Amino acid sequence: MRQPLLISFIISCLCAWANNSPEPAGYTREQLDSIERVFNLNEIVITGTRTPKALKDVPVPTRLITEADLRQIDATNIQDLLQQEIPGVEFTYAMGQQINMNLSGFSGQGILILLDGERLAGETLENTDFSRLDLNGISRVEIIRGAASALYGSNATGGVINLISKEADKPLRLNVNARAADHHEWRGGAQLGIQYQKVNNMAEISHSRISTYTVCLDTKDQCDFRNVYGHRTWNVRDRLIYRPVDNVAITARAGYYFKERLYNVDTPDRYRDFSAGLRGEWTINPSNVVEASYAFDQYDKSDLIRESGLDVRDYSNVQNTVRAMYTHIFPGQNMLSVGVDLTRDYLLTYQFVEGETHHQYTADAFLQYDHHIDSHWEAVGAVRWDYFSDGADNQLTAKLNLRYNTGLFTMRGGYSGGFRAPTLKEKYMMYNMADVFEVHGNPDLKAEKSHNFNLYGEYTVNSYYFAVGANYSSIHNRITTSGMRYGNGAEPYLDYLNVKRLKVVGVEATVRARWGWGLSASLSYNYTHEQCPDATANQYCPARPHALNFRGGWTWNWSKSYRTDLSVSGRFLSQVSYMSMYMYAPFEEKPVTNPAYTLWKVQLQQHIIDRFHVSVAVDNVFNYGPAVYSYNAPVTMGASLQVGLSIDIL
Amino acid sequence: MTLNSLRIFLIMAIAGALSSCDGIFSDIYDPAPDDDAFEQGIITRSDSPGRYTLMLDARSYNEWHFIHLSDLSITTVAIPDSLSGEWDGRSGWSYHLVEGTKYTPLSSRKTDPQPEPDEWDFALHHFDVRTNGGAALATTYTAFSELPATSASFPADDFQSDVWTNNQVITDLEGMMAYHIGYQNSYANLVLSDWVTMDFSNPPPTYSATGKVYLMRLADGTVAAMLLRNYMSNAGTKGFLTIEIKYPY
Repeated sequence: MRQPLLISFIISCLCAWANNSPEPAGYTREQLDSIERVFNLNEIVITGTRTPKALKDVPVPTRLITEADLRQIDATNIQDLLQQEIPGVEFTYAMGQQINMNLSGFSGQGILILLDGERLAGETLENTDFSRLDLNGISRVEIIRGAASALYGSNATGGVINLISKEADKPLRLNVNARAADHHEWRGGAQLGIQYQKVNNMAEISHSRISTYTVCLDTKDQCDFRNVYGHRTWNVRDRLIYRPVDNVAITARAGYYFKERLYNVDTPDRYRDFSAGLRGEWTINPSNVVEASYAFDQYDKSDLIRESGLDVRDYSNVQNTVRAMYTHIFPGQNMLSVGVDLTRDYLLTYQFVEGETHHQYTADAFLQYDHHIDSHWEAVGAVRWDYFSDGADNQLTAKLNLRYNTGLFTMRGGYSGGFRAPTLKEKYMMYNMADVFEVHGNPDLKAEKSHNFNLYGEYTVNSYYFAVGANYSSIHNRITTSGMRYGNGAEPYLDYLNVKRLKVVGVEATVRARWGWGLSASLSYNYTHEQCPDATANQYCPARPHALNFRGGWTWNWSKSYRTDLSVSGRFLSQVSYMSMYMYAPFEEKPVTNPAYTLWKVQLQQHIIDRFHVSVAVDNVFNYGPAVYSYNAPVTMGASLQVGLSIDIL
Repeated sequence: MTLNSLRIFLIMAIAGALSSCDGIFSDIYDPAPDDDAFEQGIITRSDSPGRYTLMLDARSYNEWHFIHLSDLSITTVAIPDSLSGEWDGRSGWSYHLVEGTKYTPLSSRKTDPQPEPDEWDFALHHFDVRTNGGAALATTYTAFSELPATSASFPADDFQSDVWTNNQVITDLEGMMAYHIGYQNSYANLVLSDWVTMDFSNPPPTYSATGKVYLMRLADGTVAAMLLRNYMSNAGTKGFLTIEIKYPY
């Protein structure tokens, strides 16, 4: 109880200070607009409230990665993008070299990842298949820190990452791009955009591949992983927006994703996703908007048995979702949003008893009210009820966020609730691991719940942007697996259980600057205190306490037809100490310390007649190589060269 | 216009939702073969004298399968896990902390010696191989058709005999997640046992086969050529061995 009171006190103090601070002297509205434009504060975001709002106005702390940022960062994939841009993000390996995300103390199971606002079916070790998130057709990424279940339901206990797709912005756009790097890494893609009368269509295709390579060369070294297994992916998407009349927009989309991973050369594992959706938006009048949508997402896993040529599916998660939302805008831009969702969730997995499948329906209703109290204050509150047919479980979550703004200073803070309902896998799993041990589901699992309090302030002056914030999360009933148990069955087993209350505390600070002569820089620091759960058989690596990201850029227009962008980026992650499983029977823990590291990247992009874009980058320029390849060691063997070419044909 | 559009939208949404509850495109996948269809035994190739195909369910980590080529017999014997009488001074299980190729002994337990049939030429345990007083070498060939006419082309000194091991024949993988592995103290032929590598450094294990033809010299001096054609079933279950044998070679 002490922490919420403390946060309330800090909010009161900051408000008092802000109210007493003078209006920005010496600034015209035009100058303020210019500052806001430089730091993208007028960009429209949607994730924090499910309604479009300018970044500077949204009461929910939101980190925006714009299309311009995406071009400048030129990230290889979503992992690369988030690690370069967000301090405190770490991607580590888990069992079977599957990827686990840790975002400031919340693992992949606590961060809800959306693509155009839609959930993604399928998971592996509670994480999304990050390879699905192809940056080829993405225009911006919005990141919400803290719980958001009052708007998005299950899984948003620690945050939301929403990737927003591009729309065609001219009658005909055709881009082809390619990139090559070490280990035969290759990525190629193309985008075709058409904007014609009432139709806007964007089609994308991309392909990537990388060979298997060995990182832990000395066979006597204790490495959590020795090889990085190669894979190839295909991603195809199309999104059609049809506007029959000015106030109606119908969006149809379809996508296909394929990945083949060479974890076992003779039986590569395959991953496929089929997605489709239909969405209608009807602006009845300027005060009333109705949306309805249907989304289909099917994520399959199979094994190709090369000797027999058989492709045998052993996992399929199918989600069908229908949704409706109504927004009413009152005078003064106060906004009421109400919505309902109904989802059917179907799961077939090799981890169930053979031949068994499970499905459940989830239904929810939410209400959000966004109130402009006066010219400085805005409050947004929401409440949501979720129902899960399996176990007839109910969850009620709420949030309240406040935003205070003067010309140069903005403060955001509030409370948000989160929960993660146990999945069908976690409830009904009965998996025999090669006759060695079993993993048992637990039908009695309770939903994991979180209470998040946060407070962020930002100050923009001349060429500088400062932001500082803190968040506190209390998590109850976190779902995890136990240590090895010995019952009366044939094999020892692990089972799913709820663990006691955990806390995550985070502090962030960011400074950005944009000067004349095309110079820019940003420095971000993140502190995370993650109260670690007891060691289990999971390969879980908690968040590193200190993380620092830096980016420096120089853009120069040599002529009307030739521009260069030079950027230097680096990130530092401190060492982390925690307890890990040492003996399994009887269960014993041992202290583990993973060392700090820093990685730097230098990148030169050349833009010729704004049509040809050539990129050369050296990653890990200081040739860092981990002494031990632990699960959370960076996957690098030293400096590496990447070259890329992007051509805007039309 | 607006109502028509919404009507079409609703019809398409409902049709889509109803048609795809349990997924689509299931026919792009193959049905999973049944491991029970695997027929264990030694098949004599009628088209090629002296050619055999050994099919063996060697999934268990707690059994040795003894092969006698003269009568094409397979005898399966359980690995002892306890001591019932006087200890022979070496039989037992050894537990190691396995870090790459570094083995740190943790504990051990005594057991009875491994029972063996009266007559056998070689034995298989999962992917491990031992010989009955024989020796083996790995060729650079990947098919019998590439082999020289006789085994005399291979220097006798290149054949390696079995060695006594306590970190080769896995009997207990229960502690795999902590890299604590139990092994039978046993003879093993390290050349032949290398035909499949099981790497459990990042569980679940990964597997890779050399695909080479191996020569095994039996105790009586005769030589068999062996090629591990497959180490899994049609369903992909590891431990189902299909071994091509040319004997005598």
